[in-house]
Amino acid sequence: MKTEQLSAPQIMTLTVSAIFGVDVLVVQRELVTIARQDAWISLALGGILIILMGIVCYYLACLYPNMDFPQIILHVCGKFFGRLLLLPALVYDLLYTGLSLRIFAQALKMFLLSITPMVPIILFMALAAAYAVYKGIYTIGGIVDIIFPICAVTALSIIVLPLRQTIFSNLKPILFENTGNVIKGILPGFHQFTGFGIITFLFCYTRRTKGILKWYLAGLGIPIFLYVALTMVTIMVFGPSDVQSLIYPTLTLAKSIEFPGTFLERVESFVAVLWIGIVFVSVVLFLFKSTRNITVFLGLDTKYQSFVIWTQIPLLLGIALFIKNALEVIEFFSRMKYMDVILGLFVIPFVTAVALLKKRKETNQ
Amino acid sequence: MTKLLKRRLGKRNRKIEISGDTDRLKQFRLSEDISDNIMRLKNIMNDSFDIKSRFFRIGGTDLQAAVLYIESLVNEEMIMNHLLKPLILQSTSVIESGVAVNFQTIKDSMLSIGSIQEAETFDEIVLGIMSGDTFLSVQGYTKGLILSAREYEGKPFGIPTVEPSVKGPQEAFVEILKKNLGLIRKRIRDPNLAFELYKIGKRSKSDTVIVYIKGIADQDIVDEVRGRLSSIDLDIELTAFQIGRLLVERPNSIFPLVQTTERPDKLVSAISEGRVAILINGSPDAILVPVTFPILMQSVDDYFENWLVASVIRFSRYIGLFLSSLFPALYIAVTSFHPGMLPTSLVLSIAATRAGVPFPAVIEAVLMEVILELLQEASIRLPKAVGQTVSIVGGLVIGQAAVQAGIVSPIMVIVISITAVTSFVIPDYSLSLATRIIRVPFMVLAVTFGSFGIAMGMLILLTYLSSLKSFGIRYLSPLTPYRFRDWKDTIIRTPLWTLTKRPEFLSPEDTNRAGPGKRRNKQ
Amino acid sequence: MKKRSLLLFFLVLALLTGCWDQKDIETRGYVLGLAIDHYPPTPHANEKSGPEQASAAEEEKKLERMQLHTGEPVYAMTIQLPLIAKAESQSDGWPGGGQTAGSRTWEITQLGNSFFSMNREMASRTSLSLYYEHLQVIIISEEVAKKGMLDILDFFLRDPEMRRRVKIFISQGEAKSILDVVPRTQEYSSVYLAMILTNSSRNSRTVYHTDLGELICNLHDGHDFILGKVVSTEDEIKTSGGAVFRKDKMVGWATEMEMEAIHFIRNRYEGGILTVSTPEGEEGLIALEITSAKSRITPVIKGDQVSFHIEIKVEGDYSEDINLHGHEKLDVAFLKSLKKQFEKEIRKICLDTIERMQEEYGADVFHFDRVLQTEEPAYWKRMGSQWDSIFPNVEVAMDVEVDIVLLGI
Repeated sequence: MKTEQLSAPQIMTLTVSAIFGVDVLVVQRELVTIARQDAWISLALGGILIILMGIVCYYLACLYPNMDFPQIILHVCGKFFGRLLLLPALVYDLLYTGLSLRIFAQALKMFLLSITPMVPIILFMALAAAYAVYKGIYTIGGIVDIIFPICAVTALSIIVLPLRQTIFSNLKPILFENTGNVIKGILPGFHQFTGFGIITFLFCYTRRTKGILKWYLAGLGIPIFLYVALTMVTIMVFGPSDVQSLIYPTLTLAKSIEFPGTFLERVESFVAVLWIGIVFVSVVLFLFKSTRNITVFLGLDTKYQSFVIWTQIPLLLGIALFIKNALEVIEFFSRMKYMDVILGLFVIPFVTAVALLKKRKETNQ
Repeated sequence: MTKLLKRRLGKRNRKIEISGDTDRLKQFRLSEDISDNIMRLKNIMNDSFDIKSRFFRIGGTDLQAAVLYIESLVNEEMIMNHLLKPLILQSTSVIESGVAVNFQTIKDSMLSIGSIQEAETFDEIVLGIMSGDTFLSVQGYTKGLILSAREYEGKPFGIPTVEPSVKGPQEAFVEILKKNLGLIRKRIRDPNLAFELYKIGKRSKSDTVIVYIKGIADQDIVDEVRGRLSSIDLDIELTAFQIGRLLVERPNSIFPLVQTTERPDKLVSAISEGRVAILINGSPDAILVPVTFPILMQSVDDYFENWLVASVIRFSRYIGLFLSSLFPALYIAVTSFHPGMLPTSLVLSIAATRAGVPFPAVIEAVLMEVILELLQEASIRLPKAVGQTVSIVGGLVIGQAAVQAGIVSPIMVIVISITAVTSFVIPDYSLSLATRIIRVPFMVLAVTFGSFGIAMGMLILLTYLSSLKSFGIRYLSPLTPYRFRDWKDTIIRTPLWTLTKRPEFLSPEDTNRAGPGKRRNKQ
Repeated sequence: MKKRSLLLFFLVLALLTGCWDQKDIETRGYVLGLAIDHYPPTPHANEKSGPEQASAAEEEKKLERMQLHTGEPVYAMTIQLPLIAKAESQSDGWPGGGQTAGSRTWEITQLGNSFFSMNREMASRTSLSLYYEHLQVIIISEEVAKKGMLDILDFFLRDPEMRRRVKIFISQGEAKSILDVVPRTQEYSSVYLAMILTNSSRNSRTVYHTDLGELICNLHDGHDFILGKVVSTEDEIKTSGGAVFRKDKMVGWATEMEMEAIHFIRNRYEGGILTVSTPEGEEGLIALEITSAKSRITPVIKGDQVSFHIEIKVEGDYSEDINLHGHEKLDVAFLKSLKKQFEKEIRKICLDTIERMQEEYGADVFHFDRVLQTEEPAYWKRMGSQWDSIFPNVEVAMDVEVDIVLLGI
């Protein structure tokens, strides 16, 4: 039987799913607090930065097409120094997964299941994600291919349906004495798209057809577009001051959609259910990254990989339940994402540069 | 020589162990004495009363011969007219013409049966006789002849019962392999149509045929099929379904990983896409491999209608699939956990209908589900005479009366009825059984976690389906990975003139099935 | 095999742990309407009190009280629950289908000073668990509104069961009496009231957007706003006109005509009728059915002074004339003069309303401040904090244009 490989369109769907996760629930608040009605501009600028960094990631993946990210780091920077660089990525992926689970469970409790305690929700999601990672990347690719259209349709519907209630003037004044804030908002905007580096983990499994870069960029572009549109609509419907008081602006936006008389009067529960799929795939992908990180970091053979998967679960549970207060969790989550900024803006280009040098040395020999 | 005889005679007296494996008989060979041969053979076959033998002389000569056959399997008329008659009566003319009468001439010139084979060892002979062939032993020769004069009792073709279609051909396979192969051949006249014979089963040695079109089917798949068939190690196999179970990567999968069909037209369209079919003697079903989920949701009727109509119908099948497995769970989740999802007036009217019902929604749902399954099982088994009773009992008594007594709410009855009916829109019976089975875990999930549970259940199910492979092809192809070209015939069906290439996920060797799409000119 | 037993373990675990959120649909009490009154209530005219009813009223009041952690009860919260008919032995066979004699709703009142605790306290009086996701309307009495909205709204904003599209009305008089009305075409007055609003696109004198979301947005942005007014008699409910709010306190009522003007100016006009008397000064009236109205407000800055220029474009159909003594005037000249008449009328209404809002209430319900914020942010930055004193003196110039399109048969 032919060996199985990921196809180029799957790179797009996997990238979109990695980026589209819990962040969507909370993205608007953070940015609007900094840049008020121009938050969407910050987000767009952050998105451009993401695309640039994404191209760097792609290039890095191309240099060593048969290794994934942790392997590349160790190969390029040596056993000790490489592990040192890998450690923040490892910690970040793990923290992100655990906190995603927590924020997701919180939001779910708000909107769907109010009395169910958080532990079963988190555990259930974690186990299901572990099962998917256990089945392998090709299975994950399959899941994502099916979920992706649902992702996109949900996001589009939240953007389009409230248009009746939007007041365009909420976006104005545009860039009035606000440029400083907008610039301050670029870095937070950047880290909303965390997960963009997934190409470095996937490239080694992909069939080498031409156009992978094109699909990858599409995979980056779609979440950027959707996030920016979502932020614009949120501001237009609620106004910049109101958004700052909402902990889950996206779900509240869904709550404000009104379709009198039709069957689904309350769209937000429906949207919340579709949301579960979106968060699920993002958790799965981050868990996959984290598993690979840990496996390579500890120098384990791939046959121990399933062991690594299951042992991460209690760790994730601990991370998720560590902070008790809901608002603190979200604050911590935002601050933690700055780690991704460091990883994305410094570590990855650094590793790429070193890899380039090493490659040159290797070809010269 | 005497020692040899004694040994063989000695063995003749001892009861030869019947082993399931006729290969053990290889060691035994024919002797020159026909009575000895016949007696030993009868012994091996347990002296069953329907094993007949006839001793005779060839022509007017002294050459003795004997035939041995099983009465219930052979066409006695053919034996009489084409074996015995020529040898006994008509051979006189040949002998008078001066040709020497020996084994070779008997074989070449005197028998008018179509298929003749020489045999020496008992394993071939016994297998042949048990398959319905006739054995001829000639005095003085250690070789014998196996002649094929089989009787194929049975209907020439059947009517499809499990897979009816509104408009298409109403032909179905029958239990006799030869007739089935005929039904296939009459539809495809391509010389590349390949039939390969295998005998499966140690005791049953059933004829099993692999059918594919050379040059279209991916050779990897064909090799894989051959390999797996040969490795089946079983005493007796009865039907296609059991073979199907044994061929797959994951025999414990709830979802069918092979497709079975009783329709020749379905088989023919499958092999022309590059799939491989397997037919077994005695089973009126063919196995089609590999199979994917969207293939199981296709029906032959889809291709008879206009593309838009067919697409809508096909799409509605998916909705039916969804409803069939999830509707009770959704009902429980929405009414018990999230009544906020429904419009206010609907909530109030449902609550009103449930006002006096003693059970919580969950128990009601489980109760109705159990009754539904029992009813379905009962209706399969009932004799025709009591057929009406069950539908009356089921429908009126359980449905109507239970509601009137206030034991179940009318909404529940509606939910269960819709669930039951929609499970039958699924064209493949095994798949519809699978959806029935997964209803229960979904209900459990709905009860504990509400719609979150259902969503997680669907995700886990998706993971499971995504990891299934049938002969190396992903179960969910071509939905994933995206193969845009194949989408023309998956959930929707685009006009026939666009379906010019074979499905990519089967990696056929010849991808074009029709000329470059040319629309017929509108008149 | 290990995998299998692990799976089984989790399955059993799931079943044992129980279903926390599961509650059968008929065991929930769907709160359809909520009324907030002040306690103790001001006495109102149509109080029926005979000796028997007085003692019954006393009894009821006793149940309404609850033990409070701090202070005396300040608010009276009344909720409207639909009564789903109890099961009785039915001859026609459908439980819950028969009509019970008497009302189909139940209004419970609870006294207290925190809405959340009042909500929970009501749970001790009903066998149904209260569920707010189907809340249709919230009615707040005049008294409470005058004290300030921010004080009472937190419960409604924070609780996830509340939806932003819940309609809010201010009642003239007691809020509870609105809920007590049994309407003729609907079973529940809350639903009835919410449905009136959906009909209101034909009538410009009611407020279209009077929901929680609107309220919250305005409160957070610090704008003044209008909420719908509702009045009731024994068996009828009417909503028309509005309550004017300055910051978050109600300052007075806006009449029906003023509502029209506000809609015109704020570009929210969705449909309505305008009548004028005939140009020649006869006793006749001509009605215009307005099909679309758009407005544009442009601020004009002169130094520290700001004035506004409002352009209103209206399109309508000539729908009725009365008392014209059968004069069929179908000539274009007549229509032209009619046009001017309409324009004059609209100008008059708008300017009068602006004046009243400026002088009597000092409430910028037209959201001129928003216009300034978005169009002239530099000015706003400078002078915005003084808006309260600037607004009453702001000058407005208006340009109205009316187009008569269709004329009937």
